[in-house]
Amino acid sequence: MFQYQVPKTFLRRAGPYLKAFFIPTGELLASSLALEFWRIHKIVSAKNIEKTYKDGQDLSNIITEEKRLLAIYGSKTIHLIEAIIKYDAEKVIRPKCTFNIISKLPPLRDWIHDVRWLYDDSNTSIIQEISSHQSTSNLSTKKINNSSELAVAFAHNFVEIWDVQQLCCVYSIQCEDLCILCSARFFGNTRDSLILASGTAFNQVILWKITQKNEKGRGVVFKRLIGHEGSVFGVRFNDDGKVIASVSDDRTIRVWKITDDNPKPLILYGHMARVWDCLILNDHLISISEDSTCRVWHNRISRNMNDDDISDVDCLACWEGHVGKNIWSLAINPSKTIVATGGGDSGIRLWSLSSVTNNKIDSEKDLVKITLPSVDTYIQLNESSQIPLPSREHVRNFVLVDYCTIVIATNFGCLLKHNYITNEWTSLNNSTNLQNYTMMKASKCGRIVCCGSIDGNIYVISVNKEFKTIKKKLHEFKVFEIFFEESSDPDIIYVISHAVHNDIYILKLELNCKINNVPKFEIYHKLLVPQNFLLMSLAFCPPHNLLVCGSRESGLIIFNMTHNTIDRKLDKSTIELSPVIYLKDTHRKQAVTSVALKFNSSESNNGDDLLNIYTSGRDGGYVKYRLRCLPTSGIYNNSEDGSKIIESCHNGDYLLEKSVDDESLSINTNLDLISGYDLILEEIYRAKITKGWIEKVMFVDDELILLGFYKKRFFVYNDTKKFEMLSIACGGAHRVWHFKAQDKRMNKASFMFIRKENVFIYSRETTISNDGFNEYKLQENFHGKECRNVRFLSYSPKVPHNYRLFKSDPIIFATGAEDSLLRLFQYIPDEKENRLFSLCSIKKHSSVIKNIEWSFGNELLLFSCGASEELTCWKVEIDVSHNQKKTSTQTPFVNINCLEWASCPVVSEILETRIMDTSVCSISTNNEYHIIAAVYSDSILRVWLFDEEKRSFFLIGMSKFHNKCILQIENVVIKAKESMTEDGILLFTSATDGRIAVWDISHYIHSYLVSYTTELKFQHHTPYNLGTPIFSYQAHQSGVNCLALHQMTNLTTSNFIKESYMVVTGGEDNAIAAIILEFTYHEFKGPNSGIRIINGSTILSTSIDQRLNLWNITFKNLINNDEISEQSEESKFELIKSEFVNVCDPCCMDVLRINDGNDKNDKLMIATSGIGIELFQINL
Amino acid sequence: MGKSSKDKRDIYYRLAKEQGWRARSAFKLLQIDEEFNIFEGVQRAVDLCAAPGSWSQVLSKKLNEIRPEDAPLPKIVAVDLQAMAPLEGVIQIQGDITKVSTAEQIVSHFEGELADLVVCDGAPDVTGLHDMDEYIQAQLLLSALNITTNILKPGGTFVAKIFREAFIVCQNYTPPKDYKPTMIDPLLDLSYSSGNELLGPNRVIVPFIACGDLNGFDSDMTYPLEKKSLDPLQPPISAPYRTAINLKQNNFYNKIS
Repeated sequence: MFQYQVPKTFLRRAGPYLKAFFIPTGELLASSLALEFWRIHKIVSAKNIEKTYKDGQDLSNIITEEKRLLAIYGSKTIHLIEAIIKYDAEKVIRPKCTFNIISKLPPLRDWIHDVRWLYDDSNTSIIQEISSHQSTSNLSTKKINNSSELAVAFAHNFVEIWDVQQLCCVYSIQCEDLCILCSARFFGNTRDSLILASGTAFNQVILWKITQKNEKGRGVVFKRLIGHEGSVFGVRFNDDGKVIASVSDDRTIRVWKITDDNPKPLILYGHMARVWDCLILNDHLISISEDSTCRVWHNRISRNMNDDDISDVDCLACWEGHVGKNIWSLAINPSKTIVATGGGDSGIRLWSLSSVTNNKIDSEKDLVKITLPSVDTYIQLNESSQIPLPSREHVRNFVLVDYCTIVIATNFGCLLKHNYITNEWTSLNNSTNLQNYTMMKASKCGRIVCCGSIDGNIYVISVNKEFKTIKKKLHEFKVFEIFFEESSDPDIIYVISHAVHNDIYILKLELNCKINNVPKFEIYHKLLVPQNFLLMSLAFCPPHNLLVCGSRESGLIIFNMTHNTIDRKLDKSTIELSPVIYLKDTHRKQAVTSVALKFNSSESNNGDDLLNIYTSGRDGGYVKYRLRCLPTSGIYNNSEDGSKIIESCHNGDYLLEKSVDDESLSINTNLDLISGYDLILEEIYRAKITKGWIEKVMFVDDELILLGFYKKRFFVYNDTKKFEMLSIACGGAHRVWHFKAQDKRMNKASFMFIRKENVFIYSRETTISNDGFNEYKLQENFHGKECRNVRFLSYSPKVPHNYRLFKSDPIIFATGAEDSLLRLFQYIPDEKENRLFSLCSIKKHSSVIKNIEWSFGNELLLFSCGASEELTCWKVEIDVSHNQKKTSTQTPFVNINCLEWASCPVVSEILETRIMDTSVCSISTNNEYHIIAAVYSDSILRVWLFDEEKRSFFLIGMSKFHNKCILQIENVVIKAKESMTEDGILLFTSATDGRIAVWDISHYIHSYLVSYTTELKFQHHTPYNLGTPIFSYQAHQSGVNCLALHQMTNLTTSNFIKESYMVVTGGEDNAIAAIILEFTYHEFKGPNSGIRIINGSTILSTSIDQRLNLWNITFKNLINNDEISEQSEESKFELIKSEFVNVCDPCCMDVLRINDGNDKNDKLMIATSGIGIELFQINL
Repeated sequence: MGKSSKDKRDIYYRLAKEQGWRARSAFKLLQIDEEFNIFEGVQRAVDLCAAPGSWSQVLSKKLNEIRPEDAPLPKIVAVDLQAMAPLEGVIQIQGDITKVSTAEQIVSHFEGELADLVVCDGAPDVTGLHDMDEYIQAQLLLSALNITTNILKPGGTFVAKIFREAFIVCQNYTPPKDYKPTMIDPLLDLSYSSGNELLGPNRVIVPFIACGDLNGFDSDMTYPLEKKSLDPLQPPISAPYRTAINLKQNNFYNKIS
């Protein structure tokens, strides 16, 4: 968790692991289990570095090898590690890094808060002597030649100095202030100069000298820093030791000049939760907090602040790259340019400190204000006197044609080109029609500006005077909006013009087809939009002839321009087009501000994929859709002759079913899947990014960039890398603004807006090719809060073949957590480190996710449930990534789409009821039907039918037996055999009162399914009362937290089937209970039950003592009656193996059996999760 | 007890407000009493780490309820580092339980007699660093045990929180012969290793007993209750974040960001 950096390489802790990363590329160089059972709290490097140079001398100045000595500690343990970094002399390949454990200090007396290497120049010779003396006997000690003493600060405010050669304590001192510390930090490199700053649980920072004792032999406090209102969680010195930063429970950072007699601290408020650490740099302070942000502040105290200098804006940046709770660790590289943070979410991120000044624009002086030249330079005032000019000249509108060139429309109706670098002004056009009002847009290429007037005229103007201005009377009334859409031919540009009364045309501008120096500019289509659809944004896809439009009323429509034969002809050239797809309320009733299209790059097995559509909205989010062809219509092509496609559509059931009105306009308000003609639109992903507005979604170098306004600022957010790239104080959202960026690092970018009738410009062009690193994330993050459930996707034999992607299936699992995120991960074994690769992360649940279940039906489904009675069904599509396909030897990376498929209705009468657990099975003969048994915190068991085709939940039945919160549920399907006609379905439930109940719901399920499938007009009837359990028993004193079933050997006779199940439960009472239940199915009759203890088995358990235990259960006594036998004294649990689990509060576990095609080599993959996740592998 | 997060607003959270307890933990002590009858015959009781005072409330109420008519009024001393709002019939000491002086102060209120019952529901502020939290909780428990050896009479009862919802109930205090109460911290040791260090005869786990009537309320269950949210009975007196909260209420954070 706490790191230490050397140039370009970077060391960090993750639990007990010590890892090294190479910063320029983000690669992991080494990973070592360095501290066994303890978390590494800090890595402290000795000062001296043993360097080896090329050619054996330092003449070449090329280092080929570096050795450094590290002290790492956690809890009460210190280990000394040697880190060897080997550099490639030619710098072609990345360095190699290895860690060797040199020695371990014996267990120490108390919790360690800090360690420090001590040096003493006068003793160097002695140390070397010791080293050489010992080198024969102890292989390791010869390496400790630069420092032999380690100072250690403990939680009870005492310090010990350890000789690391002899591994013994040579000095010990207790501070006179007997106080529990929450933090401590040394300053000084020698024993005599060493001081300790102790951050106490009683809100103080105590400074004391290690060698200065009072008459009782205790360390004397020489300074107290008083002012914090809560425990002090972190203390840091600056480089010269004269300034201290302390952070606290009170959410403040206080910076103290300790050279002052009564230091008055600089107090910084801003973090929304407890602050854990704060680094002091010359100009900046960098802090990390429980609020999962890292903030950068002005360091006013180091720059001799005076009170007049106080600015409101102390916080320069708030980096939000971690999720959930807590950033625990913070480090900076030696040149103080790159900041690294480690979160409670297991993620490690890098941040560029220079970006703080580059990417946060607060000052007016960074903005260029454009002032119009005097009017007589571009308009002859007397000449146009027949129409009076407006009273005042000012900027009306403007567009950005280049990074430094804009075109301004003035109130007098003039169009002026302005290069603000050269300060050149060029008049492009004057028109009285454009007085007082001008709607304008520029083409992306910057060659053309298009203006719309208040009287419905459209002007097409060449910025570089390539052609004569085109004027076209297109509309009756005012032009609202103009859009430019490029085609693959740079000389063909589409213009969409939108005027009052939904008068919308799409026109085609052909620049290489000029008559009298005027390009061809003709109406292509007239577009008909639904009522209450005020066109606000659009994107055109010429290859597919599709136009996607968003409205102010949150609607989304798609026009199919190929589809033209059935439309009425207005005149010989104008075709009226109606949308084929209309989706309402796509952005929570807020405006759809932009549409972006992206072609599916991967040649997936679904060749019918057309493209992905992204929309942004004023709800602060963006949505990703997928547009596909109906499978029946074949491959969609660019043919202008659409007749074939239409034909096939008219024959398809889909169209008949979905076409609802005479205009063949399909309108659907609720479903995410809409089909119109041959197209299917599906919502794939939705995310909320800001409390403000998102005004634009776009792709820069394939990274998803969102532009928006929040409070008084304009921001640029990189959603691919999850961080804010640029933030400009512009005063708030503006009606007219433009942004242009050349590269994903925003090295060349311009942002311009109109404020108070003036154009303001922020523009930059930097040559910094990068910040010293390419990858913002060094390590993928996990959930930011406790993970509640983990479920492997198991490729069981019954899984249909099309889900089986490879010989060795990729290992995929789903997790749900307190942070309400549903996530999917792929586990990728790697030579250095087995990695988790985040496939997707979905925020849909409003609160904790309690359980997730996979189910194979016609499609692969995933059910997630949790608080507020949320039960959601997801359709998961797994696809092998295109570029990985060829490397068949390695496990392929997969692409995953997780589509929200359906939500279960809320039925409990009690508010805030939670769904505690679910158990899902699909009925074998009818794959589209899934049975979901769910247990609720209102103590009711509810059983649902999910119809995959209709995407609906139906409540089959419910029952209340436990009268307590039900915690767990599992199901067992007993396959119909011989004379049995139907599968038996048993449910096992457990509750907070320690009871286990067994239910037979077969009859209810089958009779419900019969009426559901046979009744043509199925009327949803009153749910069944599922009655009482067939059997129940008391397994624990209190809550049963886990429940596992295992099928034992079974006997089948001609008349009845016997099946035995072992039920193993784990409780809040720290106990594990195992019981064997035997069920006998008689012919055509319901089951009865009896218990017999017959066999032994192996179980795995995990609990909050952080151990994964493997048990063997032996049942010795064979009792043959129908009674329960709880007296199993002769049966016993035998602990076979116990592994330490690094995950805190483990609360869920799942097991995957892996078969590499060789039956003998079955392995078990075990995932345990709580705060973090850990995977184990057991060979069977 | 504030208006805390959704998952913690269980039935007891609401019942506590309705019944006038300062915290839901009051029910835990009541349930322990149901099981172990710890209040019987108690004249002198000490509540360590008492703030916000729900256990002192329980002590005050129960000890007075079960007091025979002729018996003197029970004496209850509540100790905490933090200031606590006053409670009728409870003597308050603002002090550190690791200090001998605090023990002396407690005993002085009992006119030199020792206590019949010592309870401790103390928990440090959890940081989220699991290993450190565990260590500090152990230190706190040890401190509570240390001071208890100074103030509890032989035969007395000691009840303390171990972690989260788990408590230890020690009855019939019998100090070893010649045992001298001390305040020196032996620093409770917790160590992890591979395998399970508690095996064979060493693997003695103190039997776990679920307290409270299983037919009573279930904290995990959702009950139909009024929607109305009740205000905390006793807001924290000196929360470390109070200045930050004040700033927030004055819109400070909106101004700076």
